Amino acid sequence: MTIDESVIELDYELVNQNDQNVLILPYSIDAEFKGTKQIIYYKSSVSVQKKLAQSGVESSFAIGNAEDSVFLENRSVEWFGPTLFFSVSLLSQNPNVVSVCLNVLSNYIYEIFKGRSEDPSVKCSFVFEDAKEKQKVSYEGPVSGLKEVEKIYNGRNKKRS
Amino acid sequence: MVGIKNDRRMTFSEIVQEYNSILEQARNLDYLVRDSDLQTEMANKLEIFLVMVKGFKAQAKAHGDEKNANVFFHFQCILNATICSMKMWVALKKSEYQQAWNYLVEAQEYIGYAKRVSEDSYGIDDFYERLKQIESTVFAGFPLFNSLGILTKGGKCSICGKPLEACDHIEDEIYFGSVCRRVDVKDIEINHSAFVKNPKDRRCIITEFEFSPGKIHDYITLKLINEKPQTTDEGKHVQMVMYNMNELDLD
Repeated sequence: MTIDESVIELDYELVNQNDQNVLILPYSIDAEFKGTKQIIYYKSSVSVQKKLAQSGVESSFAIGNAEDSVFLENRSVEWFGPTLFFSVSLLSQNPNVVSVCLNVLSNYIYEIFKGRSEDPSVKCSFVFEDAKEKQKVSYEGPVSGLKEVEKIYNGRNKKRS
Repeated sequence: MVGIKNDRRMTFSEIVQEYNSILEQARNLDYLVRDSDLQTEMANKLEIFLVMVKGFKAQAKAHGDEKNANVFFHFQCILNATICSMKMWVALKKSEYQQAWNYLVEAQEYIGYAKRVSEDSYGIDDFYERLKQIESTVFAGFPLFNSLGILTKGGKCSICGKPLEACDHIEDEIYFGSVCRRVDVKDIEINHSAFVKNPKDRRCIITEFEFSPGKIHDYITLKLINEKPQTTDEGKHVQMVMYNMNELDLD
């Protein structure tokens, strides 16, 4: 399992569509947000959006809309998830949203891999915004380890409070 | 729950009885040493029964009975896995090794989908383990497979026909005995190709490899199949399956 943490910059005009929603970012945020390339989302993005909605978490595509988007499918046994962006406003109003999203993702991945893998490999990222910066947490490892992302998020909050 | 076969109504338990009976007969032929004609005949018999099971599934769906539609989907997957296993033995005996490998992988995939509906169905784990053992004893294994990165745009939901972004169905989930997939994708572009240990489709194998300069070998049998004059020392010849168009029967 590898978890990388970094501070990133985003073009806020593009991202700030609805900061009350979880935003689904294109798969290569650094390149895509410069506006020089085609906007591409991971194939799983639409399913993630629907699963989150079933659990009462509204999300939207950060740029463009799902119907006109181009999707990348990596034909690997690994599950590639989109980068989910949590704005400072969303996190302050709904402190449980990260926990809910991680649970939704874990349950969904276990379900679609049932019969094929007991603890499938996943690769996905999360961006947590606060007043100062945007922290990106990139996760790669078994789905059972996704809860570590929540620990990082909670630890970060404790440090700042 | 009832099904209709040749204008005769069958109860659910009669259908299950017939399903168990045909699988029992198939199991007796599911060995390398059984006669290929008998195995082909059995595969045909299973295919006929499969059509019937899919008919029962359609009836359950028409009655809004999702539970039984999913049970019939489970039967459909186990029947398909058994057909693939039978065809694998026949292909092996004809020395069609790549085709045999494809059947083996497809059989394993079908069992995976069957388990999505019911994990504790009788004999399913034994069947899966048996296929794993065949994989490790009959085939030499593949250290790497080909994995494509594909860009797609558009397409419809296989369940309701609407754009997948506009409906409530979720890709790869099972609804009334059918797996939701994105179909009718018009815009497809290959973004990249990579060698990976764990591909989504294990049928995407290396088929030819230049083990020594100028000597091209079949990757499965290792037989020398071609010799070419050495002109440069740039790279090695590798031939592989990029994408297998043969979709599993998941509708």
